[in-house]
Amino acid sequence: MATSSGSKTDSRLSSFLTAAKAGVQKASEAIRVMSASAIHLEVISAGIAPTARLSEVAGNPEDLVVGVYLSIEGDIPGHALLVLGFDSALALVDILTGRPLGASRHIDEMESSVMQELGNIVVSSYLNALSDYYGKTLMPSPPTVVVDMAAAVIDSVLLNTGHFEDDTISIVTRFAGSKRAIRGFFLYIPEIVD
Amino acid sequence: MDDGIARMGEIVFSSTGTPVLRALGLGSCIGLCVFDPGTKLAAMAHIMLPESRNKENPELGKYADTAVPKVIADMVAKGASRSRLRVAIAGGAQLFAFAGATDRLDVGKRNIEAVKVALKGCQLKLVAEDVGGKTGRTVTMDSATGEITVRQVGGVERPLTRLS
Repeated sequence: MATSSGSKTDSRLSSFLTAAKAGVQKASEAIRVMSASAIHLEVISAGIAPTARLSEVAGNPEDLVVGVYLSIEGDIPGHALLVLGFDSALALVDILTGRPLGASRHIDEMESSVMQELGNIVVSSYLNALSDYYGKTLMPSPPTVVVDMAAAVIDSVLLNTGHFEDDTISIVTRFAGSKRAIRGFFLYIPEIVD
Repeated sequence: MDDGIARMGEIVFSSTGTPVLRALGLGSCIGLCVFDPGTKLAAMAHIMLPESRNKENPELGKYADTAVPKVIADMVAKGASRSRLRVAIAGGAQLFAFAGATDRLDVGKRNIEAVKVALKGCQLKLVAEDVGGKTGRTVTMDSATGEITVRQVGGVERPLTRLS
């Protein structure tokens, strides 16, 4: 989004970040319930960052990841992306479906639908908080799941969202698990902050 | 960092210490590979977007319309012969089917077109391309041979062309 200087913009940004952090809290509660307390979310960064640097939060650009993308329609349009390391995604599928760890080996139809469900739950809980904060309507699209290189997944979302600016407002969150390390994060990019 | 890796928006050049250039995990981005077989000088740009809106933007490597002339000018300044320059590109995929997306929003496709327009404007011929589709790519160029390879997820590195 356009990021002009000025105190009005600054206060809008800071109130957006407050709402977004409340959203992450909600999403974290939802995933905690869904995973029987195995996983929660933690905010690792929130603010304005150069768009080109955002792909680096994923670690190695060539790492195989599972990406879950949802576009957000309504009064505050935006883009939500969950990125999970491939093995972490498989572990999440095992945890969420109550299978023994290591049971899932591929992202096929069933695993993909678990990832979609995860995307739905994380993003809709997050949006509920944002919607309450702003008193506005926000609707997520059905999730799309892809398995590809980390940098490719992230650049495809960033560049195709119409974010042609140098900077992007983003909330970067990581999955934290008490039983097993889940490497992944949730990225939310608003189109307009008002 | 002189490791031969072109990160988003960067342009890198080959040297004795770093004969191999790479752009890792290109999605909608384009890896622009330029080679002078005479001097064995190679350059790679990791282009993000079709055109710069701010013409005074110092990050020339980021945009197709500024990266192409910048790479050529820098290579010539480093002793390459303009008439010998050979070009190949990889990338420009569209991983996600965006709801309501039109061609206007398909940055991958727009990047491919913008690079081709810029190359034509500089009267450079495109020798080979591995573009479009739905999967990410890593492109590698070896300045010792001019050989370019492309790797996609789950696949082996396969030769695209040898610029000579």
